[in-house]
This record gives sequence, C-alpha cells and structure tokens, in this order.
Amino acid sequence: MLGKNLSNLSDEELFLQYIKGSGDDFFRELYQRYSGKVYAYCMRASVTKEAARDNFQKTWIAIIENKEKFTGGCFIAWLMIITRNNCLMEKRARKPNDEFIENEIISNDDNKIDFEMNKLLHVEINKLPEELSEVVKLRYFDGFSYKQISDILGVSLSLVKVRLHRAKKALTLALEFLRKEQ
Amino acid sequence: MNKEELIQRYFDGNLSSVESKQFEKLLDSNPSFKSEINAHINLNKHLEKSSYKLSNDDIRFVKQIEKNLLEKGCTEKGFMSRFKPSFLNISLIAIVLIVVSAIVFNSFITSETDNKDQNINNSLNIRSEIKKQDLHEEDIKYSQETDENSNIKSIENDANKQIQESDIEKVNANNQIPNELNSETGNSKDGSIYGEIIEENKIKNSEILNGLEQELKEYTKANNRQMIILTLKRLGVLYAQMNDVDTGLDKLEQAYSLYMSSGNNILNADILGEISLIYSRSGNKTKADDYRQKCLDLLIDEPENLSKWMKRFNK
Repeated sequence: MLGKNLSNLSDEELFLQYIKGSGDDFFRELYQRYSGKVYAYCMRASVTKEAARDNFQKTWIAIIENKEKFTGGCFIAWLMIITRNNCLMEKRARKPNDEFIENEIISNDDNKIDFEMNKLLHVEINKLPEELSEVVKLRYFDGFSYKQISDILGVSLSLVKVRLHRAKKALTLALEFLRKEQ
Repeated sequence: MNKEELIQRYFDGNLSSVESKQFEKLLDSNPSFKSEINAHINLNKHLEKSSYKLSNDDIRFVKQIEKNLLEKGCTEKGFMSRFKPSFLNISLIAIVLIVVSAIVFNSFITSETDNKDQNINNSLNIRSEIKKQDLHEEDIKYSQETDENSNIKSIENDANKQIQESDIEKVNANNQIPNELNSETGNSKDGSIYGEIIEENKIKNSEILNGLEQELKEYTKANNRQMIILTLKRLGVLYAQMNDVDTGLDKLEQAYSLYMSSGNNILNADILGEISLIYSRSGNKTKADDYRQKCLDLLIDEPENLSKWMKRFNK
C-alpha cells in the first residue's frame, strides 16, 4: 500500500488505512488535502481569527480522537460536519455583548472595483437566510459538489439545488443593483 | 425543461449535446436570456474570487498544527490530553513549587530558632506536634461527623487544612520561645536576644491573625455560616495560644453560639472543650471545670469523642 502513490487513493481509503494504524502518512495526505478548506471555513464561520484557529485545531483533534466512529461514507462530509459543529458551538457559547474584531475577507484581486464588489457581495450573502447563504458558501467558497453539500448539511440533493438556485437568483439581483449604484 | 432548469444544468455542465444546441440557440435569439446568463457568469466570477485566501501567516499556522498533530503521536489514544498539556503541567509544577517552598520556609524558621535555644525547642516542638495532632484529629472528626452536606464538608476540610497547616503551624513556629519569655517582661539570661525574637514573632503572628480576621469579614459578607464558625474557632485557638485569652475566648464563644443553632453535639462539644482548655491554662479552674462538664455532657452518647476529650483534659 505504501508503495502506491497516496495521492491516487480516495479520502475514505486513506482514512481507513490510518484507522488501521498503517501509518501517519495517510493522515498527512488527508490533512494536506483538506486543511486549507477547513481553515477557510473556520475563518468564515467563526467570529474572530483566534476562535477560527481554535476551531480548526479542535476539528482535527476531534477527527483523531473519534476516528473509530467513522463508519464509512463520505470522509469530507464527516470532516466538514465536525468543523461546522465546532464553529456553531463556539458561536453559541459567545456572549452577545462580547467585543470582537470580525474576520476580514481576503481577496487577491488587484482590481479595486472588483475588490469592493466582492466585499459588498459578501454582505449580501450574509443577508440571505442561513440555509441559503450556507449552500452558496460551501459551493463557491469551498468548492464542494452538490452531493458533498447534501452530505454535510444532511439534506437531499434536490433541496441543495433548489436552495442554491434561490440564493443565486437573489444575489444576481443584488449584484446588478450594486453595479448600477456604482 | 424550463428556462431556470436549463440555466442550472448549463452551469453544472450537465447539458446533453441536444440541450447544448438548444441553449446556444436561445442565447443568440433572446437578448433578455443572454443578459440573464451574463449576470450569472458575473456572479460566479465574483463568488469564485471571494473565497477566503490563506495568508502566509495562516499557512504557517496550518503547517505548525500538522507538525504538532503528527509529532505528538496522533495515532495513539489519549492524544487530546497530551496535545494540550500545558495547563495541567503548569498547575502541577506550581503545586510542587508551593509545597517545596513551604517545607524550605518551615525548616528555615525551625533551624533559626534551633540555633537560639536547642533545649527549649526540643520540648516545645513536642508540644507543638501534640497540638497539631490534636487539631488534625479534630478536623478529621469535623469532616467525618458533621451532618451538613458533603459540599460544605469539603469546604470545611479545605479551610481546616489551610488554617491548620499554614496558620497554626506558623504560630507554633513563632511561639518557639519559653513561656516565661512570652510574657511582657522578657527577663532572662539572654533577655536581649529573646526580646528581639518575641518582637519578630509577634509581628508574624499578628499578620496571620489579620489575615484570618480579613477572611472572617469576607465570610460574614458572603453569609457563609460554616466558614464563619470555623474561622472563629481557629481565631479563638490562635489568640489563646498567643496569650490573648480574652479575645480567644470571645471568638470561641461566638463560634459556640453559632454552633449551638446547628444542634450538632460533637461540634458544640469541641468548642466547649477548647474554651475549657483555655480557662484551664489561664488558671481559671472554676470556669474550666464548668465548660469541661458541658463538653462531656454533650458527648454522653458519643463514647469515642468522649474518650478523646477525656484524654485531652487529663493532659
């Protein structure tokens, strides 16, 4: 197995090998595949950078601690469910009067107009109902497939499509409005 | 297939060759459809650019976590406790340091006094040990026999330990001088040396008492009855040890009056016994006998405690 290139293995194959105790290389490969996504999700879903980092660590620790509980299925969905739960718990535990500096959105876009537009778009996304905004974020920010989103959110595939469609419709209108204003 | 479904399938890349042709045809012939598609393309472009991009600092952090996870044995059980050990380790180190420094401090005081008068110390150390043992026994009894709930018991134990191990020990250590020198006169062969010791020890003892008085105020403010009683009792014993019999008795009487309402005979008897011993030491035999009798009366149905107090009285 070790002779085989790890990058050719599926997430599930890697994780099952890791559970069996075949070596840390399997875990490392999974971590390298998804740490960026998990981190970005935490940054988006947590209130502060510190909280995001804390949630990021908690997620990976939980993966290791609960590896025996992985019953197969989609690994990335399981990973993201744990990430999501950690971020939700952290938000719930936060007192309403807590002061914080909100995480900033980082854009590598050199175009100032586009940068401003992206910021405004983020505001519009956050204005959407939670179930719609979450689907948009998972699809476009994290690049998950419909199937993965349905696994992560625990809803049917068709509902994911419907929600995404509704969200995009609302955002298209908002974006057009913003363009006209500019 | 309706228009919206067609658009969705187009962006998902799920159109068949026939559907693709239909789509392109519609795009060329219908300007409003074209603008709608353009709006979608525009939105997708912005959405894709808006995803969170990891900074160099973020990447460093992610790599560091990877290193920690792999280096600290993520394949083993109990990883969590080893990954975040700092708090526990620091606490343990702090406890060890406190214990060590307390032992060193205690031995320093003892050795300093030893140099002054070895013979006097020997006898007084024995007395001190007996006192400590007695007090320790009492405290154990309190925690075992009290009718209050277990939570209060643990608070009492902690408080007893705190007072017993720190304050009484210190006062005993500070009292490592002959009885006759504890008096105001301080006349002795080496009067000058002992005079200094007396002054020094008086300051130390008064600091301990001030601390306890302060605690008493706080417990009174918090209306923590159990702690008020225990602190009063300790204060009473300490004042009496420092020859301030009146204040000592006053504190013990206060503790007794509060304990009376608790209806716990063993606790009441303990306080009465302490009062009796103080009167006995100060030479007031009538009062000592009076309190002694009260103490023993309360312990008629408690043979074990009765014999303990009988032994203490006979000493």
